[in-house]
Amino acid sequence: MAELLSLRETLKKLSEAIGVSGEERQVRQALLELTKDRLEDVVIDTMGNLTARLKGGQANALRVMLSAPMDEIGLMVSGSENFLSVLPVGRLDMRYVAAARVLIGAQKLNGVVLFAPIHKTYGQDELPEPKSILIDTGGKNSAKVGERVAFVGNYAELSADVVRGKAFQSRAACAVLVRLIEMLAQAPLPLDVYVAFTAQARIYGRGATVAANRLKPQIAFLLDGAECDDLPRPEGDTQLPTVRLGGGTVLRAAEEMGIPDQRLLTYVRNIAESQGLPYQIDISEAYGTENANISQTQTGVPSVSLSVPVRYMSSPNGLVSLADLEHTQRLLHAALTALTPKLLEN
Amino acid sequence: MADKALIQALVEAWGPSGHEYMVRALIESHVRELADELRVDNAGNLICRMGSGGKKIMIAAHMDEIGLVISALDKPGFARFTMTGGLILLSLIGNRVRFADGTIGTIGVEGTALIPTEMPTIQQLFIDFSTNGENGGTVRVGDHAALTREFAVRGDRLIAKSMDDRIGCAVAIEAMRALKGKNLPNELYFVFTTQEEVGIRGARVAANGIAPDYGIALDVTATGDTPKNNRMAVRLGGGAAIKVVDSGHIVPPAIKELMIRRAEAAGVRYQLEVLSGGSTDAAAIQTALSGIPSGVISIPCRYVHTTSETVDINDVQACIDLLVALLEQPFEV
Repeated sequence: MAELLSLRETLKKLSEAIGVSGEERQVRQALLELTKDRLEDVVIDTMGNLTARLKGGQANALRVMLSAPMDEIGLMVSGSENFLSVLPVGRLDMRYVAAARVLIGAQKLNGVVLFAPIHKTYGQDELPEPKSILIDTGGKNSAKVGERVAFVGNYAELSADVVRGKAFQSRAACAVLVRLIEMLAQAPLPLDVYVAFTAQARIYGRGATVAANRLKPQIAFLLDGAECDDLPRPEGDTQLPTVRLGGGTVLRAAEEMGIPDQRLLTYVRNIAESQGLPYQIDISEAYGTENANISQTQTGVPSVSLSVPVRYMSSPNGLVSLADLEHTQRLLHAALTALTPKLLEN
Repeated sequence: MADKALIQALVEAWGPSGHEYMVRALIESHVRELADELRVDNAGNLICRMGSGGKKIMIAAHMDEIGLVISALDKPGFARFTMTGGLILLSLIGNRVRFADGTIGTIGVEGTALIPTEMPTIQQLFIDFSTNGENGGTVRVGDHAALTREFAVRGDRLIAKSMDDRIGCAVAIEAMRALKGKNLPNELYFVFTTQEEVGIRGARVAANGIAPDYGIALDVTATGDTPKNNRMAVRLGGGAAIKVVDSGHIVPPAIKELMIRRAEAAGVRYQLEVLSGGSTDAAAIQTALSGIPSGVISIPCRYVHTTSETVDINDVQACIDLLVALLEQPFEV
């Protein structure tokens, strides 16, 4: 029997698992423990994706893919000295990397990213380049070239609604999908539902392409995280925030590498309006979801992203609102409930 | 000579990337009677088949135009935006944009300078809806817009927004008209594609669906015939440009040579094109499935990605003639 955890417990368990892009084993294992009773045709493919069919699906019904990424940004050991040299995995924000705590490889060696104190930078007070990061392991170590290095971000509950942790961009999405799988298992819909927990999302969404090629969906809903911008602004700056923590599910009207299917975007937006579920429209410039990957497989897959707002998303200290996760789960469930093949007729 | 009324209707239509439905409806009204079969795929591409049997050839022209999308609201009457496709920041200030519902906005820049002298960043630009009240009336975050400007004619020169790539669409439609009723040796798929300006997304998907033997893209290319600009050999009025290479695509020599042979046999003026920045639908078609040899017939165009993209009607006609010459005979690569 799979563990039946609350949303909060699910998120904590998934956030604490380590899964730097390309080495998602721990996260995959945690997800399997949480969902395996509800799934069939489980495949762990060459990319590391976990794909499966939801039990109780209707064979000739609309073939729907639900996906959430598993991986987190981190580092990879590239040279093994007392000060380990490492390379970035995913897009790092160097402002939090200096002095960050890290765990190295499967044996979870402790380390800290090297930084020079401000009075001893000898004039070199600019942030290092991502490719010149060093890790201090306190002396000799057994780290091997190629091992992944994860940033440490302890899970904590800041209030009844807001929690802090690492890898929320992926794991908040995973937590929503885990809960949704449970919901769909208990009250099946007349659909043929496939799920994909994807690997390597933070390195160009490589896993998602392969997962979608395997599952061949007619329609895809992607879960992900979206960066909040509801922070204090300089005086005189009148721009309004677009994505607020606690402001509801983020729907993307445009992404760096393309525009989502307008029929689907409008559909989900209308569902949110009619159900009274909060949503926010965002455009993402700095990064995209796996939408670009999945929508371009086969002869084109209509797809749309539903993202959970995350503050400080690119750092190991992300904040999410559990209400946002609940609302996202309910919105996607409502969208699936009302879904018919008619939506895809032009 | 090429149909100027058709070109005007195409360039003045509204269709930023991902929102090509108005352009698609317009094109559909022109090609419905010309195609043997017509469908719209999952990516929004309009696919028109002419003829059956023989080599399958996909001819692609993209419907979308560069545009922008509201990224955040600012003080009442103003909004921030980001681009969908390669807008040229230098040319934006004072330009007008139009939304799907007809709402107009003007692009302005932060600060107190009456005459801005420095290159802005996109973060410094905003859209002014010229309303006193709410944020641009009904405009919301995520709404897409396109630049707006009327079509103009100066002798043989046509000036408008969105020549990139509605002029390619016009070439395709004119070729379909010329081929209608002929006994075609090839199975032709004229595809009016989506989302070229944001990463060549439509053409790739269409190629996966059609699985053609060969691909031909119709798109604009830059020129090297303006003052202090001699890095590129293509010039306006020099004829159809047969692409040799661009930054995303090396045309297989056999395709390029077939185009040259057909141009010479049909007496069509042509020039060879080497483009150092930019690419076309053909780059995606060429790498779709297990590889589809693809070439490009380019329409020379000045001021690409501005609201005054300029082409020469004689070049447009040469492109039509070359395309027809290629398609009405066996595709002997």
